[in-house]
Amino acid sequence: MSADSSQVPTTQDPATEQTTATNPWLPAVLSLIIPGLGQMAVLKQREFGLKLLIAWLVIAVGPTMVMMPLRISGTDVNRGAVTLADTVALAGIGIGVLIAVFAAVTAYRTAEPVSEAVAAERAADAAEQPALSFQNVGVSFNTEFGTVDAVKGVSFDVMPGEVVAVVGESGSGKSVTSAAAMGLIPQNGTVTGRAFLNGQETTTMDAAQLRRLRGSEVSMVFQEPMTALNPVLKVSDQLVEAMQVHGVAFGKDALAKGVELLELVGIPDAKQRIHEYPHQFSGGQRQRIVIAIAISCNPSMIIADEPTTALDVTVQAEILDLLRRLKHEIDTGILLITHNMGVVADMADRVVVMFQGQVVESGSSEEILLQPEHPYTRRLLDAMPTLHQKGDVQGVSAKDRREAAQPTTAPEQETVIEGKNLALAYRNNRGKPVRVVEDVSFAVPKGEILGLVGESGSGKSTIAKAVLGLLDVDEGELLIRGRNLPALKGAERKVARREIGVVFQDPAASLDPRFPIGDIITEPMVVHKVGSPKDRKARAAELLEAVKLPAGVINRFPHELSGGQRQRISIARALSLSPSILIADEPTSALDVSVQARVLEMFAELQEQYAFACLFVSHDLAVVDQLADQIMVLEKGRVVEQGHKEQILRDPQMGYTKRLLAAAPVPDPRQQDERRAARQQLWEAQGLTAT
Amino acid sequence: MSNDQSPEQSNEGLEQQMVDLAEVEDAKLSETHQSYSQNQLIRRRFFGHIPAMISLVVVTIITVTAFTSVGYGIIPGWWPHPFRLPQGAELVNGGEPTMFDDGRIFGPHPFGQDSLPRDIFARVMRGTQQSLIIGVVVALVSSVMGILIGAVAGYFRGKIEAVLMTLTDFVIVVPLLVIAAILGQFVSGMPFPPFPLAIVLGIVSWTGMARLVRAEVLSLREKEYVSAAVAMGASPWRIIRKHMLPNAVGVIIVNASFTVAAVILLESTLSYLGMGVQPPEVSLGMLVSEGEVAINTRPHLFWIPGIFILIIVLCVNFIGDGLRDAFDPHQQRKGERRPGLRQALGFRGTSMAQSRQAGQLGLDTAGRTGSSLATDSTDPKANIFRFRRKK
Amino acid sequence: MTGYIIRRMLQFIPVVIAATLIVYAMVFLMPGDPIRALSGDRPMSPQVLETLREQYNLNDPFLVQYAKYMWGVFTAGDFGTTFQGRPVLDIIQQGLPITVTLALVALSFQIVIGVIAGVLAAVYKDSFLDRMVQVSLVIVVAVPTLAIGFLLQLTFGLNLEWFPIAGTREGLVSYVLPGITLGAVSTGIVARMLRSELVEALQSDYVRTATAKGMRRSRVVVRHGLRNSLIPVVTFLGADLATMLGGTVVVETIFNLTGLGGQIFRSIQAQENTVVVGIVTLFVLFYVVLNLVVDLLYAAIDPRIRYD
Repeated sequence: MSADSSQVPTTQDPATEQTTATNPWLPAVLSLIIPGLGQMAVLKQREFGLKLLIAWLVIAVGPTMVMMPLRISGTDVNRGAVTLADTVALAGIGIGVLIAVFAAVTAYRTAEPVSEAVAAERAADAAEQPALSFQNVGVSFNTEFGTVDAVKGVSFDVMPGEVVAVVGESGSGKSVTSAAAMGLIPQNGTVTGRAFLNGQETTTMDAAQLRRLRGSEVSMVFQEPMTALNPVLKVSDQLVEAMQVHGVAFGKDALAKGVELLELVGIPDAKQRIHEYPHQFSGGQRQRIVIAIAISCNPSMIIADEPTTALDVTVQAEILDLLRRLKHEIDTGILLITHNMGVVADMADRVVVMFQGQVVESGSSEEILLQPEHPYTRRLLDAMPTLHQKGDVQGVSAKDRREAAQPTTAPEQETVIEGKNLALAYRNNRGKPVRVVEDVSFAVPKGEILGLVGESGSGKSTIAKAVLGLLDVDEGELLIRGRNLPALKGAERKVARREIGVVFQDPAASLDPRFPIGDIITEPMVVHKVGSPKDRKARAAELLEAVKLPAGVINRFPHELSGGQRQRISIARALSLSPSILIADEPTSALDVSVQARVLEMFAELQEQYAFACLFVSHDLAVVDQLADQIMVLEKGRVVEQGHKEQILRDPQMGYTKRLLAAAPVPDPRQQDERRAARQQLWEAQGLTAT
Repeated sequence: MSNDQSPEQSNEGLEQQMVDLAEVEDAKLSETHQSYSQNQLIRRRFFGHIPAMISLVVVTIITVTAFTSVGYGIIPGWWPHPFRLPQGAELVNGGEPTMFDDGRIFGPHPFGQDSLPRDIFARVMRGTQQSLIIGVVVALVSSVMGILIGAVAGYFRGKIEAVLMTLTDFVIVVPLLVIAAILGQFVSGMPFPPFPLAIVLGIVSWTGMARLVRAEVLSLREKEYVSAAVAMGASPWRIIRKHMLPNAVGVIIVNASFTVAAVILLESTLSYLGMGVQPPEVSLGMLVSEGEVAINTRPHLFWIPGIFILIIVLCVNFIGDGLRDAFDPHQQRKGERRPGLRQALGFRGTSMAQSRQAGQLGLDTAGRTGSSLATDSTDPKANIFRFRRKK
Repeated sequence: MTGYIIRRMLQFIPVVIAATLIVYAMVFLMPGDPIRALSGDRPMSPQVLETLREQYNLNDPFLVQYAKYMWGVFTAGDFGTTFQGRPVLDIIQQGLPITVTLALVALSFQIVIGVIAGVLAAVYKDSFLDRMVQVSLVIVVAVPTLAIGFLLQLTFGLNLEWFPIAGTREGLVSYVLPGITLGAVSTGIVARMLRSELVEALQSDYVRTATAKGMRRSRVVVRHGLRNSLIPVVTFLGADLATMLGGTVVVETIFNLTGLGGQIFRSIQAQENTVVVGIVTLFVLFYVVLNLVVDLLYAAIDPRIRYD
């Protein structure tokens, strides 16, 4: 290999001292640092593409400018340093050009505006014809498992100003149908039949025409507010995008309109907050923003796909109110896709029920909800857990059932789970503990179910985790069968854990995908070294029978089972050591309605049989009504109210509890109207603004 | 009762069908059909990956040929010429390759000879042996170390994690080639080549695997079946052994296979610079370096070992791709991110920030997170459309 | 934010110390006596050898040597001298711009070609273009750098005579071929990473929202998809730049550039400990600083990240 100084040009001889006055390194380094700092400052200010462009130009120009005087003055500068500066400059320019290209691509080019004559004609027609019409629409998908018909022969209309609810469980094809209306079906899908939007046939349109429709005549509101907005763009950017793309408003006008829209949907301080980022808003507020975007171009049709499923029940009530108000003000038609009959009763004028890709029944909401004809509809309504009103025929609680079965007077019940002034904390990133639950006390005797109710952030799941020993107790005592769990260590702790079984919420993640079902169910036995392998196999079969699954499932794997079936396996696992305590953290929240009904029914029977004490966490008051004996209502980590179920649910004392109960919708349209009025009165009485 | 219904199904027919989703699901279960475990599914997918299969065949052929032709250790080979300078060797055909030359298919020296003269085919085979051994041994050593460190750091968190990750940082910061070169010099005189070299290389290349395993363990920790196992009283070692590592195996194996390829390249670079395998042993990198000087007069001395390196690395990469597709099919679960290069490079700030994001998301969603969580990737309906929500 | 920066810079110190200590230890532990090697065939009297040893602190215990050296580096910028008396700082000054320029050229190549290829492959997913890009990426990643270097030299340098094949005489142009060689593998990685990130971003909810607003596909890709996908790519590029700085030796050898990469290797072979440690210290510093810069850049791009 070559020696050290082979190719260095002779302008500089390494052997001689650097006698030049200027040290070349200082300007070279400065020329890199200063623009870098400048870039940081610029980045704070403006639009992304622009600022990056400026920044890179600064980097590109900076070094050259700094080196220029040295070059001109002819001092001996380290050749290498000059080349370095040149490189940086060139690289910067290259990248700047790239960014400029991207910026050009994203420049606004609006769709052609519709001519006036055509628009007038459309407006005239609009009053008579349906805003959205499906005629024998079918959608099938080409998957690796063959062709799947997701939607078969669906026909219905939505008139302007009308709310039509499409109800169904998973696999019913309700979401696919709505996507077909906007042409949002993915590539492997084929659409048959015809869909019309304001008289224009969308199924035969090309991409450009569809784009013109989307956002301006028909817009969608999706289910997940947390991910529906781009996290790296400001709300203002996302709000005005649709307006600018469709030529409704530009620049400052668009921004002003955006502020108006935000105020319309109930975001306080809209003028300041429009410049914030999505993660600075709560879930409910984000959904409002999504709705604001949806109405920004005055569409004639809004398709809302499960818009409130991911929200707390009080927030859900507010969003539904908002939608109803907007419907009146803008006179749009709304296609509401949901599985919740209560929401249907609250909002819908007409209802379409879908099952396995077909429409099984349709009619006005009163017809469907109060006098359903099709067996599926009837089953669906029956399966929905009901929140009984005061004066209704009382539901039968687990305890009552048990007492009916064994009318002997039971001896004094042992308090199996007890919490005394519990305080729980998480550690934040700096290691400082943040209290999420404060001063919670409860006692659950054997054979009883305590329902933990609350909205997100209430701490109900946190308490469940603490009882399971997954979270340390900051303060207070947690007694499992009389022993303070946090104080136990090692082997004693393990023994205490034998007594506790758990069922989690997510069926997909509750079971180890690599374990066969039999091993999953008997894992607690293996951990505590109970029984021989033969015993365990027998026990697994026993438990499968108890959860009403065929015995052959023992050798299957979790991915072959559906959600409801997996939850049943979870329950079987929880019961394998006949625990005295069962913790259920929203076990049915991720399941379809009818599946949920089955699982809850089975759960109640098992509880009768095994007589465990249970901590049942749920956000759904109706579910809790069905199962629990006692209820504890939580808000922001504190107990709002607790006591016997009848008292809490029928005769609540605290304002928060009343609000929770008032907000839960029931599947009876007339009742729901009354409830809504009552709820709004309650809000006003409590001094909260109604949306 | 199947789900495929003809579009002309009448209303009465529908009424006779199942009218309850739960029943439909249960009915599906009682159909008897072949039940596949995860491993079987993975194997099926792997064997269906054509480039990987071709590469597997090629690599096997090369490995077998390399080890049998020139022999290894005490086992003799079937190739007549040794890779070192034999007694009374003669220059045949001017040192040019005798393959496809003059109507012969192989001839006595298919890859030609160098100036000494030594048979290039034998040297290439020997070099391939060394490269393969180094690749596999380094991958093994670094994987084992990486898995241990990563799993312990990821599971136990807290101070242990901080210490282990800082240690990892220390090793990452030093340029790999420099450390490898220094260590290469260090072991250059040791016996049993190339094992000392392979072991020291392994000791400094575990950092990528450690980071990946740690990231994977961190994400698996949040899974509910792990919480269930903790809640039922399982010991940390049981959880790591039975629940985490088997589910992390995909990432581990894929990373290990890519490590083999990277190490072969690294070794060839080192040998090219003179710091890897030392004479009289041969490695492909050394052959490339020897051949470089004659690249204009006798190009085969340079290109043949170079092409061998290329083919081996290419095939190993394809196998790695095949493994990755087998473990992680493209119909990925939404919302579930397998840790990738990002986590492997894990600048502290970014991984901190990401966990904060995840934490924020977790606290904000309402109880009904079922809708945002994974759908089963093998459930046919789930693969269909991306807009799928609940279940 | 400033608090964070200061804390990170304080974290530099143990890392730099540990890394340089590791390297110093390894170099120190290598067998052989450099002074004797220096004298070569000429016999030198034991007194002269002893004086030389004293001068280079070779008789002190290891840690003391290390401490004296580090002290010199950070207080006086004195990286010591080679055994022939040449200041190491000089050597560094000679070679640094070449190595850094090389790395930057490679980086630019990676950014431009890698990003374009990745975006195209993701947008036209599963098309012929996509497959072609993917296949070429796989191949590029597998070819040893040596081969790429020689190939480029032969075709573009000798045969076509578009670019110079060695040396730095012609300024920036002479860095083109070496830069491409150095950056080729990473370009492949960047393109693949960007493709998979972009494909995933394009399946996300906010892209669906954007499409539902009626935006053109290209606009959706660039405005919504790209920005989110660039984050991991930026992280990778930062790490890669630091790694490249340490791995330029092969390219420098092929193209006859007198950068630090080649220098370090010659010094390892000659057991010039001071040079090795000096250059490595520099590289380590680069790495940690780049690390911090990337993290800050990350915060600038993603508004969710706030350091406190």
